[in-house]
Amino acid sequence: MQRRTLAAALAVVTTTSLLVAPQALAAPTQQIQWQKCFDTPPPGLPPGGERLECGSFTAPMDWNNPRNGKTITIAVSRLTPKNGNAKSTVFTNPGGPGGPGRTLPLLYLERPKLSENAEIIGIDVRGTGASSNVTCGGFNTDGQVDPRDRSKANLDLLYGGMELLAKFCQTKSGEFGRYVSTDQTVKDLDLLRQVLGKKKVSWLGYSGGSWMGAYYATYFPKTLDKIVLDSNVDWTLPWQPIFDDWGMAFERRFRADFLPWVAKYDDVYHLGKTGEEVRQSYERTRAKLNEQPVTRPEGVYNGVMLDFLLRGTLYNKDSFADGARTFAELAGAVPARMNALASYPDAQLGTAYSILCNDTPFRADRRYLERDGARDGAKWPLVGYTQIAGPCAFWDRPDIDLKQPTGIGVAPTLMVQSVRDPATPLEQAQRAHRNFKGSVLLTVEDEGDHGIYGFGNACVNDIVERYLVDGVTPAKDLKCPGVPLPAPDAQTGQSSLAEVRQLAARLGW
Amino acid sequence: MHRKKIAATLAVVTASSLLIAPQAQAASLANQKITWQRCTDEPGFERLECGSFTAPLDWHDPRNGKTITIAVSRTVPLNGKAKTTVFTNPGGPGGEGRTLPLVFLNRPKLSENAEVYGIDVRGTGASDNATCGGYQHRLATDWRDRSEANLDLIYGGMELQAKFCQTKSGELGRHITTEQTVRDLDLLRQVLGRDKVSWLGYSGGSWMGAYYATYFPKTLDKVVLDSNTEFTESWQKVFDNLPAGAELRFRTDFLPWVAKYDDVFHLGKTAEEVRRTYETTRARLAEQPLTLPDGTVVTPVLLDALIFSGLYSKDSFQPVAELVAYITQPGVLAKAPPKQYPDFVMGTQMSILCNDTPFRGDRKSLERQGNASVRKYSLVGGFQVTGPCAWWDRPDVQLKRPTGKGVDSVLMVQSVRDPATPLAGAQRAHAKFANSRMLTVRDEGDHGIYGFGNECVGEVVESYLVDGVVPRRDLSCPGVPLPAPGESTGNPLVEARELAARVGW
Repeated sequence: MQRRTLAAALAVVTTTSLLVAPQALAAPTQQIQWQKCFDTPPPGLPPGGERLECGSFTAPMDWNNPRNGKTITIAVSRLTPKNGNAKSTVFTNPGGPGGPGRTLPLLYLERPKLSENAEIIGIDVRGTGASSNVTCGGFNTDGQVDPRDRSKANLDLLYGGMELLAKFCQTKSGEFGRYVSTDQTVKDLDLLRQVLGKKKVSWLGYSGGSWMGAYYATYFPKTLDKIVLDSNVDWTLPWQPIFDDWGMAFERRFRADFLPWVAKYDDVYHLGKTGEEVRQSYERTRAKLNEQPVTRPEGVYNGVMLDFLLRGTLYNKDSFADGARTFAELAGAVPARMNALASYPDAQLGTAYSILCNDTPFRADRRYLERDGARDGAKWPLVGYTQIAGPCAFWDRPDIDLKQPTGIGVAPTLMVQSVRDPATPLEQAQRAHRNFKGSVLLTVEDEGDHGIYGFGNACVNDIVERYLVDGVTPAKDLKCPGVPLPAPDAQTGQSSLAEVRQLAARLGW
Repeated sequence: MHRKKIAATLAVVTASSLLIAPQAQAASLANQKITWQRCTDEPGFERLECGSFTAPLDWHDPRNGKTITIAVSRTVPLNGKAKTTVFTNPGGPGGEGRTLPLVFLNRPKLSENAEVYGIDVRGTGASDNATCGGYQHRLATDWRDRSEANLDLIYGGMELQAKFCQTKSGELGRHITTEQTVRDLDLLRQVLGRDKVSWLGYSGGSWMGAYYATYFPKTLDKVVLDSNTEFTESWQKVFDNLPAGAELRFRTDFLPWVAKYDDVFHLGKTAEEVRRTYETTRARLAEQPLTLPDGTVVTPVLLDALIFSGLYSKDSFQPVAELVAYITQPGVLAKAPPKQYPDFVMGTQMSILCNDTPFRGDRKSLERQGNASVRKYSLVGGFQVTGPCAWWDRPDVQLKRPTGKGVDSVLMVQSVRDPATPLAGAQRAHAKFANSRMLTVRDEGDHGIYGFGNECVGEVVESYLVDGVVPRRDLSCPGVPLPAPGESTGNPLVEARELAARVGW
């Protein structure tokens, strides 16, 4: 939370500094314009934190083609000794890969031997933080698929999601995404060293920062002085096998440290008196959460989200207490009855797609959808592209044979319809009216609201109520005038309606 | 906001009423009684009563023992004398319907003469739920971008949407159809003991009403369909016709209205000028999405969606126009730094993991490996972080091999039970990297040690970094014991640690 505020504050400052600083020219001659990161110190800033300075420099987008005119911005921070005499310069990195690093130097305010002797540099490496960004377009199915469920259908979700994530990241990041790699980043680091005018710098990197440090040293061994790598990946291997060891390592920490710790404080958490009992509580809670997710202020917890919570807890023993408390609350919050009605926050969407795709056949495939979307979008750019029913092209439709609505044998039906209805256009209503025997159409002229009766049109209200309550069916199709568009800040109809309308279910689609 | 709270309250009430009501037997479903009670104590809801009844999961096989719950609500005339019964539906399909009867308290001719029913149809609200597992593809990418790469995102997303909805809704999902729903409605009529009921449905509720009438013509009295779908056609056709209607309302009503009040919104003096402002704004949002104070990230496709939903009611024109006016204010977009995205860590992480080193595998090998890993390490074994690299179009990156040759000295700090970067990998790297020294932290499992309160480690690292003392051989330090709940590990850094970047992965 606080971290977020801080990051936001930093982002603003860097932006400002970008505007103030003259655009830097060719590489090593540029100067970083340092200025305070915080105009007003955010709450919780440790004493001395106001000394943190921020700035940025320009790097080629592609170090293998540095003169193609394409450049990016790298945002950095620094903490200098109070007496101004730094004996050395330390580049720091918090890992990730991709973790923004400009607040990391604040950590060493508590280590004066380091921070009063060295200039400490924090870096948002290319792609992240206040540097030029890459993005996956916000796509993320984390927490929506339980990887323990190895059924064919669930594996389609799991790996279909991964495939789509790769495509989202690459498409949304565009050209720059191809140049976000360690090979490029370590050259940014060397440029930073040159810009700062240092012959040698030291390195202090955690986790994914051990990888980066090892490669920085491999590419630029002569310009590196001291190198500290804390919490190490095996950087002599590719990334793929590095993550293959994750399952083993988290499980070990979970069973060796966390579970016995929770059991030791059973009087606090009531999750079990032995590590094994706590583990069984976890399994029970996880299964129940998969049956019935629990919504808390910070989000919706299903079984996978419980795993994510515990995973985050295991990094640091100081997180054990918070993680165990949430775990205990979830264990207690879960309804005991397994057959309780399962309820989901997206039930409306689930129902909408089930009805749309189950009810009637959908004739299309990917190619058809592409053509159709392009054609409609060109004509009606506002929503022509949306293709709300598109997922039905990929739906496994059960064998359903809906009766055809003809109106035969049906009581006279009163249809109310505005002429510029955006969601259910007039033309559709008119065709349905023609094809549905015995129906009467009440057309509301010069009106475009979706949903008319009960929303302030006296003429319509009157006709509908005479029909519904007094049983008077109009002898033929009718028309009512619409309600004029309101001036800003005025309300149409009775003003009490606006509030009720907010309360009542929003009308569909 | 308010609506959400109320919906939650309603859900709780229905759940309790379920516990009170005796479980109905499938055979005698028509004889079950609904136990009515006030839906909520919230002001404004005094007259709304809630209850529920049981229906077969599958009306084609009603005696297979599988049942679902349907949640309903009602208002009754104050004098208790209802002349008629009206079922209502707000559309969707799938819209929750139990608050809809409140609308008609403002129409006393209806609400004081008729019992008005609200229904959460099967799948939604407080009835048995369908779900798409929280996955929502609609606003993920800009529909207007018809490049091949973006089409893969759009239609890949649609395909995944279908799979999410069907897998996560399971068996219930196959029985959520209009055909099943209208039979629930007829059962409700029987449970209430009415010979005939009337229907008042909006939008998607016109479809439902037309089918209700088609399946049960004799038991329906009056039928009002407000804002009509072409219910005599397929859903596909219905939605094919939606965009033209939206565009008409946009150009004929909304744009001229905004232009008319140019002194208020400053978006253009003619409809065409307003339209051009919208196009310019949209293009700028494509360059740089805008984060609103409430955290909403406005992308071009979200802007379109907001405008579209504003077209439903003329009372929504103003807030939508105000939002567009806010975005176009000088400085609002200009203030944003170049291309800033909220998920930059994810973007950078995936780029580095998949660009740096080759990935060998495909869907089949990932499955195999995932199966084995989940069995062995249930906590995070299924979380295949580098999995997307199997589909990554990797640029030609030739990383140098890290050997340590030519490197002066390296100090590696490592805890023995590190969950994210396990000891064994660190030891292998140490063995292969010339001139490295390893400081092992015994009986410790934290990820990230130096600077986080271990004095022994602090001294070794600082004498190396500051005084230049390279340890002559590998060293070890004791770890810091686990704290009791409510106490920290005794270092003063907790707050600073919160402020400083969390150590990675």
